[in-house]
Amino acid sequence: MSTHHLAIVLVAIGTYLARFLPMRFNEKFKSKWLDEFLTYSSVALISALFVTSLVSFPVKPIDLSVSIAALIFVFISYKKWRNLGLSVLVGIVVHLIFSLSMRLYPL
Amino acid sequence: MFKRGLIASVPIVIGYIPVAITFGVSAVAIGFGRVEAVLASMLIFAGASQFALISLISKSFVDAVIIPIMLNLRHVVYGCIISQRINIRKPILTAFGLTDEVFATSLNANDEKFIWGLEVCAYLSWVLGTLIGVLCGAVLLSYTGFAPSLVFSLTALFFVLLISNIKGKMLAALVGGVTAFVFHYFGYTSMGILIAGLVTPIVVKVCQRITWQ
Repeated sequence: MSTHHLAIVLVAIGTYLARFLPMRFNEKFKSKWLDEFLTYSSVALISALFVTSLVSFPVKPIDLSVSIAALIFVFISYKKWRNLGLSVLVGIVVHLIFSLSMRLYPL
Repeated sequence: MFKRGLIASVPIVIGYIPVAITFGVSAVAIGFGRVEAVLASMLIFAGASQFALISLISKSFVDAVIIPIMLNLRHVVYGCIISQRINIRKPILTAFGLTDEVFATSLNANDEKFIWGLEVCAYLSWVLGTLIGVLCGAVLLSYTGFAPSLVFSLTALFFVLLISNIKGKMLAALVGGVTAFVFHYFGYTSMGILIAGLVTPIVVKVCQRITWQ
């Protein structure tokens, strides 16, 4: 079994248990403290993943500008349609257009 | 109720397919095999976690396993809420497909079979989308200009997930983001993400107590 396979299986087991255990042992998971911890932890993790995927060092101003510009369109499309998939798709297309424009017409 | 669940899943399917395609393409672009990418969608069935897994696997195996699982710990809360609202008779089955979107749609349900309807379509669209992404990935990636934009899909996905979850939790997002950024700057990216997830709830609670005093 390769590293990739092992990681996939372990994440699958962990994900399933996170979904299954509270359903199976509902009474034992009633904790306001745990609820709050998990809520804040989830948002913090998503924020951390976002920041580290957006910025890479050394910073390339043009690449970062293209990404930020595309994120503006992602934000607008999500506010307008509330569709996760569509917003990601809009972001990819806008990023591609801006990236190609920068290659064809460098500043 | 199962049929009603199938019908109610249409918005979820529309949302899942493009993201799943992106996952398939990104996974192949990052270095996952085609079978591995589809296997990830078939076994894990959790968007953000799968993206986290493929983006972290090259940096650290431990982080690539722990962080996606930590990301999914919010599902513990979902499971608690759903099982309090609906009489869950087969948790082994129902639990597998309890994604963010299925959970949100299930809040209007009063029967477990409705959730099964949602989950079946959501799951099939997720796996099918990944398969399309994996199969078309080679064509899309044959033109190298596409690669940075496809990798950007990770940033876009995390951004959308962040803005859809940030309400009332701005401080947690800020603390998590800044913590990760600082570690990222010094080259400890994976450790920073893990610490952000563990330390942020404590920092937020401390700040709230100080504010109340």
